[in-house]
Amino acid sequence: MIMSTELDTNTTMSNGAAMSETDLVDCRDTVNKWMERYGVRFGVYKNGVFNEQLFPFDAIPRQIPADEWEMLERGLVQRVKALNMFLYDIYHDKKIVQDGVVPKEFTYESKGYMPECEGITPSKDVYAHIAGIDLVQAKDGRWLILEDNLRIPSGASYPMIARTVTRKASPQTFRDNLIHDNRNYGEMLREMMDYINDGRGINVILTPGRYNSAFFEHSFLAEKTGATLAFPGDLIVDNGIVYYTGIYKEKVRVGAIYRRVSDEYLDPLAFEPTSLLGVPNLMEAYRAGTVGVINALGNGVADDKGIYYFVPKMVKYYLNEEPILQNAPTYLPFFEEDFNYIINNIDKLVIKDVAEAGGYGVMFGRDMTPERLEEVKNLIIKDPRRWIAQEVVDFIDLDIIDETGKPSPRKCDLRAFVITGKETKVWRSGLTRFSRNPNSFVVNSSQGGGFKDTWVMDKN
Amino acid sequence: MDLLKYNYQYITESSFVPPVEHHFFKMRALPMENACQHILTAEMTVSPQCQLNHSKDGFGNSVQCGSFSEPHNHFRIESRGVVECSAYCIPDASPKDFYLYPTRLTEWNKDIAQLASSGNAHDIMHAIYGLLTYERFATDNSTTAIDTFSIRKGVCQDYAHLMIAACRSAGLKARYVNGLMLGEGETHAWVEVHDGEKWLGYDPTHDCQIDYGYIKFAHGRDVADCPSNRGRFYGWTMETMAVTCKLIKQEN
Repeated sequence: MIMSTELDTNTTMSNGAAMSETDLVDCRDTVNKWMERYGVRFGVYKNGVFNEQLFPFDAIPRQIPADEWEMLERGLVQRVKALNMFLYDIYHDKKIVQDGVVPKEFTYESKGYMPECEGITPSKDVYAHIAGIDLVQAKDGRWLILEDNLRIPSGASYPMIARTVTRKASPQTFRDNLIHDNRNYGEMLREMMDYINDGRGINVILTPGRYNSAFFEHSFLAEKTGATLAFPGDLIVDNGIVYYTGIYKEKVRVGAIYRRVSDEYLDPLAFEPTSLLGVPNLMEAYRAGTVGVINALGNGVADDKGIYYFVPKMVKYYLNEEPILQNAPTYLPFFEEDFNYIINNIDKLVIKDVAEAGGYGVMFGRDMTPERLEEVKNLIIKDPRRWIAQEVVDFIDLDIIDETGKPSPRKCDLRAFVITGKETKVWRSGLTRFSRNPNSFVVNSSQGGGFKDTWVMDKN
Repeated sequence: MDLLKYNYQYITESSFVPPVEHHFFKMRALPMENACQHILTAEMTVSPQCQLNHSKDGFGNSVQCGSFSEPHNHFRIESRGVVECSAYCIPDASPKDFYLYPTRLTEWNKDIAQLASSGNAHDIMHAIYGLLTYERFATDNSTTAIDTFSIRKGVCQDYAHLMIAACRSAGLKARYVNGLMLGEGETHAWVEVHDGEKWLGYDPTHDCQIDYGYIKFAHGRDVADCPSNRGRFYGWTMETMAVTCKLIKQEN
């Protein structure tokens, strides 16, 4: 049952792939240099100062065997379908709440729930067009879901560009191995955007601008999808219709907006009034259904750390199927039984603040002093809805080549990208992130660390 | 039941030096149509003249949006008409659950929950009226119910937020209302509390349950959900803005 990591690696590295791996490692510096030239950077705000750092690339790819991927794909499609149905339900009839499957507190008290979206039906009923689902593989081989990202998941551009560059650096590797090409992500996005747009106008990608942590990605994806890159101020709403007024002489109607601006900044007349990133009266156009907004507004109600607990229940409720992919074992202090378990076992658990993201607000019981443990217990007692607790999942290490040039194990997760337009499809690649330090479990890019390409292996 | 007629007027007027352009606005300044309030005539004019778009928001409020792109140094919106009212009472068999939960402006603490110990909207209103002193400029748009409780003063918006927080702490569904009150002056804010069958109006600033003399524009969980006027324009400018309102009962 339990396979060691080494065994895993050896199995997938058969048939001469190991040779190619050496190739890739040898060209690591070249690849990182190219990536720097491309401007593959990750911006982080720390103490109010904007810093751009390179997002270090490690040349050893994560490889996922075909049969394993096939199971992942089915599980991810199932999960994202259920999440889309949940979002529709929450902003319409709320059957899942009435039937007692999800408690009221986990919808209406969620920071991501937007009553302004009540009764809005987004174009083609899709809410989570681009879902970034974070998974880890436990040491026993099982894949577990860590988090759903249904608002503005980022990171797809990194493996796309890494693949393009490594193909140049070591073409032989890609001749010798049966790897699914991942350079079709732009096409997948475009197909989805066209479906949502439905011929009403042009597609745009709305970026908050140059100083956003993912600006590189916004411009890269605009190029790959053929969409127009729009800055705040390029879009105006006139008589309930959205127009692009940037580089063209005439204003051009917009049919779909892949926005990389978060909900609260998207329309200063509907939400945060001081926002300079938004489009005044966009909400009116959206409500009237004259434009598709990708992803829909209000998706935060389905991806916070509290509602995560209920996603497997959503799969059963909406699809009447058994969930193919499981969550990491999670406890909600909101429920009395879970509360007691957490208080008695807090030193073994990881405690997460449901309101935080990006690796912030994550506390490991085993690293805390007895005083700190008491403090955290009191926080949980004071506001049980604000916290979740999880068993520490011992997930697999993958080797990276460290600064000294030697292989060194790191914790890795995988962000899979699931696109929903006419159908729900999984991109056959993903972002594998690794922790900065050998003993750290936190892999978020804002906390340091780097990434690997993800190879999904083809059959035969 | 008595039916009374009211003439209402709401004017917002801005001057800009130097001029601004690309001016977008979103209004909630038309009386609502509901069980105790019926519009007989209503008109809304914008100057400089531009297209007005009518829609609804997520709370069921009427919204009027528009924009004017040419440079201008004067902007005026006037809403006026006649409304017929019966005693304030809005039947609602399925009030939304989100009126039960705190928002940033209506979070409560133990002290606020204490105000609601009777669980009765009328008593809560009375307690808040006794606790607060009406004072302008002591608070602003970001003042929360908890702030108001601790400084013990504020304006109608603060009275309303505190009453909403206290009602919700006692499990009563409560919502914020924006509108006009008999007389001349500015817009007014009050509270509606659901009694299991219907929404009833309470004005904590005046310590009274509402029957007549209030015209409702919009409601929401707090003021942020239903402001009567929001605008956005481009340009470095000095803006002078004035809002004037009038509500007069028609004599038969």
